[in-house]
Amino acid sequence: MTAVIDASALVAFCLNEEGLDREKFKEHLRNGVISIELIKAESANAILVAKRRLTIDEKIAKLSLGSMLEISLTNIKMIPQDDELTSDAFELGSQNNLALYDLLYLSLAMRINGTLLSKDESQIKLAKKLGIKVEDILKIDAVAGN
Amino acid sequence: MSVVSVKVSDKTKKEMEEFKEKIEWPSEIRGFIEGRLEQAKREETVERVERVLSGLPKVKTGTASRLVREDRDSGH
Repeated sequence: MTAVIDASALVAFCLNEEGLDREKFKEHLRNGVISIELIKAESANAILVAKRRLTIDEKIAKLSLGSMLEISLTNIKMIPQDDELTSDAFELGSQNNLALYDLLYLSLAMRINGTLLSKDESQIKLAKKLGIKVEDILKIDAVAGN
Repeated sequence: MSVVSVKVSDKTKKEMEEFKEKIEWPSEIRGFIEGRLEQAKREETVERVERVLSGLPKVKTGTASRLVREDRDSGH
């Protein structure tokens, strides 16, 4: 089953975030994952904001951005964000408060009967409610809250 | 297009002939080679990127999802 990757998961990997099970995540990248072009802009913006807030310095921001773009090019198959996907996401939006951007990834997962790779709790919660299998990419100690 | 030759045993060659109506060998072999190359590229990228990223200082859990969430909830 192919995994749909959300920007939150890709950014967590590229910022070397604590609590992410990098081995599991890399296995997904090796197998190839699916997403929409939006992921590049969302991920780049998150890295930019992290730099502006001095969470990371400029050098790290550039390395993170470069890695994100490289992964996007080679490891992520980008599916066109067509009208059907947008309409499906819009429909999902009538049942919850999540942004359309969240829902585009979920609509894609539903369309291809794929799983979801995300670090966003609200998105994960809705995915489960919709019957989308969510991949576990948290380290065990992070799940336990240690 | 370039030509790639592969040696197989006489037995395999004979069996390939037997199944040539059922299996379109050129496209199957092309597909396999292309798929394997894509796999190798993905693996190489993961190794290269991880060498860079694993050396970076870690950010706190939840940083990425918070940054993405703020952006989405502000309507991009």
